[in-house]
Amino acid sequence: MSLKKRDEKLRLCSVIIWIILGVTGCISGTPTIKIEQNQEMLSFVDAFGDEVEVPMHPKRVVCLYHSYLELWDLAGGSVVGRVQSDQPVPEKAQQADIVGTTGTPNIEKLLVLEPDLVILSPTMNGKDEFVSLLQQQNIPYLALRYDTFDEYLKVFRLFTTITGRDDLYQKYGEEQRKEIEKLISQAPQDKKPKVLLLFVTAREVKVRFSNSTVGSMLEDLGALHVAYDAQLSQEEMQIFSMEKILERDPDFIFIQTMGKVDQVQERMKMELETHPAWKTLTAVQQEKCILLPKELYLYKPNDRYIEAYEGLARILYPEVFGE
Amino acid sequence: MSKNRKKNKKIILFVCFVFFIASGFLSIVQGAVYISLKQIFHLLLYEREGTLHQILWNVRIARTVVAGLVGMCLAVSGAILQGIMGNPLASPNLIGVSSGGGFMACMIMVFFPEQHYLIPAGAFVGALSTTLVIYFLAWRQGIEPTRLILAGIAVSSFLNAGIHACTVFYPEKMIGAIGFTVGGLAARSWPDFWMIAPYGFLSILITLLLPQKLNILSLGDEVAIGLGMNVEKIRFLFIVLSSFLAASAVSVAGLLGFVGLLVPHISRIFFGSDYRYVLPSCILLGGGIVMLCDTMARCLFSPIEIPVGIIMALLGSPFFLYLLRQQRKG
Repeated sequence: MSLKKRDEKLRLCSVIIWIILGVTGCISGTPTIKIEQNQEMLSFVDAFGDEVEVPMHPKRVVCLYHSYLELWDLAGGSVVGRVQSDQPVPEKAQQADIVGTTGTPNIEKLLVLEPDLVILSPTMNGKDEFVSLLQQQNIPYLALRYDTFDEYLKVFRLFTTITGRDDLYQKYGEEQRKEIEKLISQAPQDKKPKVLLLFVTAREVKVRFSNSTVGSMLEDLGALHVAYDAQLSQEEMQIFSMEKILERDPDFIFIQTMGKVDQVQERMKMELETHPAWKTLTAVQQEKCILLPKELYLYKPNDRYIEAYEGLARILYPEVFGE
Repeated sequence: MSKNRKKNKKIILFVCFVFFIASGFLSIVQGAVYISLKQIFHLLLYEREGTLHQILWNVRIARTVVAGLVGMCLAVSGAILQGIMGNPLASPNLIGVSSGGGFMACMIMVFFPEQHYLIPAGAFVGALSTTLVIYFLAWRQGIEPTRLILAGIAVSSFLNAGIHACTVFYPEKMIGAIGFTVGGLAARSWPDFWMIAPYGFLSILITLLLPQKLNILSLGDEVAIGLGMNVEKIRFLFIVLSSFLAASAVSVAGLLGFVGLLVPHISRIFFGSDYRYVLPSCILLGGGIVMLCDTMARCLFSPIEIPVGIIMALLGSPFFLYLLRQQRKG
């Protein structure tokens, strides 16, 4: 078989697999938010790309995605219903009725609360059935997604517009933005440390890209992701080639995990130091593998963005920001 | 005529051997980082240090060897089960290896997420103990294959329900479970190989010494008893062997369903039911197919890797259907 033909066949193979991956939903869109406002209603384009209308100052809000509950609370909003979660619940929301879990919210319990706004995530399970049900019942819903700090600002702006609390936007949005810009301007421009951001689960190790929350913070601070060429579309993480990791030899390895950080620390260190391939990496040898604390770097930092940026800056540039 | 057929089988076996070697070779030559053939020899023989040597030896070759061994174990395990059950649909899933291994892995993910390094060992223990439970549940003055299959289905359904329940109640802890159920070899290296090699190679060796017993068992219990075989003991031995093989594979690579079910059939299309040929060809084809598919999983979207189970099912199933049609025409 000639080389050209072989290449063609390989390409065809790739295209077929691409299509299958695409059809099975591995590729998702980016959120765009455009806000138009009148006295009672606010219309905007949500994460599904649909134009939706939600009421201003809603009284009976149900939040079906725990990560957004904190942000809604920060924006001065209150809820009558929420989902169960292991994560800390904002004080104001503690008395709210529980309407199931994020994976399986209970539709009856939701409807009984007669919500005038439902906050959900475009990535949660069963969202399609849920959205069509909410549409049938004429219940307004908010489906938004944010990962980077800029996206946080946009979503927070929307939330504070709905709650009518511009003061909170100034406090937790604008002021944080100014501080962070100052911090970024202090980071050395020429150093460009090579970083690898890993998401470790019980079964596999994936590399997170610059569009993830921590990935974007690292990029903002001038770090270079060693997996810069690994993104197929908008996905946040992939299994990355170990060969490329060895070849590009990162200066820092940042690790995110679902487990309890202090309990995993020793084990993770030992695993990296004894694995035949990982132990040869400069970052492992120089002990520059950092297990990131969950509350700042696994969940959304929200009002603690400055702290999160500072923490990373200190690790990347101790000579500028101090140990 | 018979002599000719024997010669033909040997030629086909040789072709399987060539396929195995070629897959292994391709798996070592191809990767996300380009290393020329000349460099490969140089790195293996002389330059035993440096990044490229690490990439070649601790990443690529280690993974190729793990892939080959996993493929061999699953294919032989499937071949044994299909023989002793007299059922073409028998596969390692049937004796609870997948559900048992998967269930144990889930339990560790949910209840001991900090001890995730226990998953391979846990999956191994889960797989093996589930097989034994199924065996004893199906026992009534001996084992009848149909009863064993039904008991296997019932126990597996029960454990699978447990796995699904985990994904419903603890979705955040089960993120890694998807990788486990599709099957993948990313980041596998020598420790994984040494973990399963003793069980894998020993079980394969014992199986290779007993092809005639499998031939007799596959003729049915009555014939086997008539020929003076202690059917129960031999069948139990084979079930334990196949469980050891599949459990080793599942513990490092997750559930690669395709190999255990279809590779024995591909072998049988070429060799009929003679286990003297089916077993060695399963070793060669199973190992070769997993190494080849893993190479594609690594290289198609390089530097991204996709789980090898996806490639195997996408390419393997149509190829198998093609072989089936060819056989019917023949």
